[in-house]
Amino acid sequence: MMITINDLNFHYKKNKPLFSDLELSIAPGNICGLLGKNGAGKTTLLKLMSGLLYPKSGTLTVNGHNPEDRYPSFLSDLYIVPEEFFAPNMKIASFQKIYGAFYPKFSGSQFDQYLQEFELEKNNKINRLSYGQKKKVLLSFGMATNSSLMILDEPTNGLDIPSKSIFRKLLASSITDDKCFIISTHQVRDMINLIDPVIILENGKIIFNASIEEITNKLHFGMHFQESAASDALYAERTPGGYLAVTPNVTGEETEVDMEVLFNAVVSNKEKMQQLFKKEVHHDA
Amino acid sequence: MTLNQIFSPSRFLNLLREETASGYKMPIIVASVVFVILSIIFIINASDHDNGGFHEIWYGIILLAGGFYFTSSSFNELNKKEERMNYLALPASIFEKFSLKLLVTSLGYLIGLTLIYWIFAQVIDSVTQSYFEWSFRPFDIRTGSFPLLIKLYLVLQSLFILGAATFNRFAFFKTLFAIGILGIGIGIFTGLCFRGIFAEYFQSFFEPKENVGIIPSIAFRDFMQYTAWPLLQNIFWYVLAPVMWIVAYFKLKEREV
Repeated sequence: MMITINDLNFHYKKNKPLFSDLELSIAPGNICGLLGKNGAGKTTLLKLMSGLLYPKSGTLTVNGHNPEDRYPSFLSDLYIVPEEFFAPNMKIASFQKIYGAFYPKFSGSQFDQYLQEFELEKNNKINRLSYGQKKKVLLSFGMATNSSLMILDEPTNGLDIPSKSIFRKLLASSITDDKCFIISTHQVRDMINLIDPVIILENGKIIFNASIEEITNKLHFGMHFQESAASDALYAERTPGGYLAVTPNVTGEETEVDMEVLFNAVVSNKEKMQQLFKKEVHHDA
Repeated sequence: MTLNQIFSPSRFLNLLREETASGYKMPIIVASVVFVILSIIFIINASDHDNGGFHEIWYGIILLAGGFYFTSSSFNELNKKEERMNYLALPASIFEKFSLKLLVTSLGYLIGLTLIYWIFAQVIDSVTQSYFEWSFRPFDIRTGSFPLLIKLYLVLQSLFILGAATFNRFAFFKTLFAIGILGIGIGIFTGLCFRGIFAEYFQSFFEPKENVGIIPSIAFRDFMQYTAWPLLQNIFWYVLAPVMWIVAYFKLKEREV
């Protein structure tokens, strides 16, 4: 496992626990989607995984490391792109030269290629770029570090439409069996056909954890034109053409997972979904 | 855990390069402003023949006040949310991050300031000689009160690096305040101990009995002169700073985003 969390407890205020006895395992070779409402604990979980926050109790290991130690061998194999990030006052070329030296697997040619895809010039000063452009520099750099674990918090925020698809393409091409990318996002439509497994957090608890294969095996996503058909669904939402509904997959037909509808189905019909997926908390990702 | 996880010369150099690249502008701006102000002060005082100790006074002020302020800003990265994350996730050990800041703010600052001040002193000394036909006492850090100032800086600076690792924002003022509070606390504690030990010589809580003269015994005086005082001096010069560094290191290790 790339990440193993056992009995993890964490709070910001003593009388307000965020995570209580949290259990989670994430395997390498995946782009894991971490979804949840605001305040669910997504960013906190990512910070715990990267050693930026310390658990109050329990164990958390990443690639055999205890993130809390913040050993260079751990930090040089991890890259985190936070939602609000620091853009140093230097040219992209200097940024590569200075920060690339910290990452043993950093590839300058990959970085150049990613920058080219995003149409960025290396002699640009980072702090003079727009928010989206700065983010593209960091995403390119992160992918070029070839770190085993890359943590991305709202990576597509601020990216224009073409850049989102370039990002998806680059991310899909950079994942290998020994790497793991964790993406926390509200922009689930940007992540279609990219994230697998899907983990949903609510109030510090993992209420859903399943692979895309499991989801397509167990759920059917489709349009219903009559209200009565939609009323039997696990979740349905009105669309201009009828009702977009999630129902148990009784026919075995594979349908494309609509992340937004899946998320709404899970949070609005927690018990039935958990029953359907047979485990209250699905540990293995 | 291997030694490499704690210290690697190549990583330390990378960190030094990062530190230099990301933070070189502010010290240059501050140094320029300080030396411009100093030049103005010099011009005002240039005709004052009694002011031969100009260098000792101003080098001392810049060394101590400037150095403590500079040291207090050591971990400014930790004051801003985005920079804090970047700094803590930077692949270097806590030891490397701490020792680099310590080195830069102690020896680095000392050497940098001395070099710049030496150049400044050469310029103003030649000006005073040419235009006013007299000169200040030469700037030589091996003589006068300079060695003591330098030693004092290296010791007291450790208090400010601890403050920098402990406090969020305004570390300089918070450290001064903490030192003040600690001083008052130690004063009160010592006073109470004294009052307790010499209780029989007091007629009320604060008022000593009349016609009571306390003459310490020879043994007590010898103890104070040859044991206690040298011990306190040695603690100040050789123990205080390393203890503060160790505490500061652990404070830095505790920091989260």
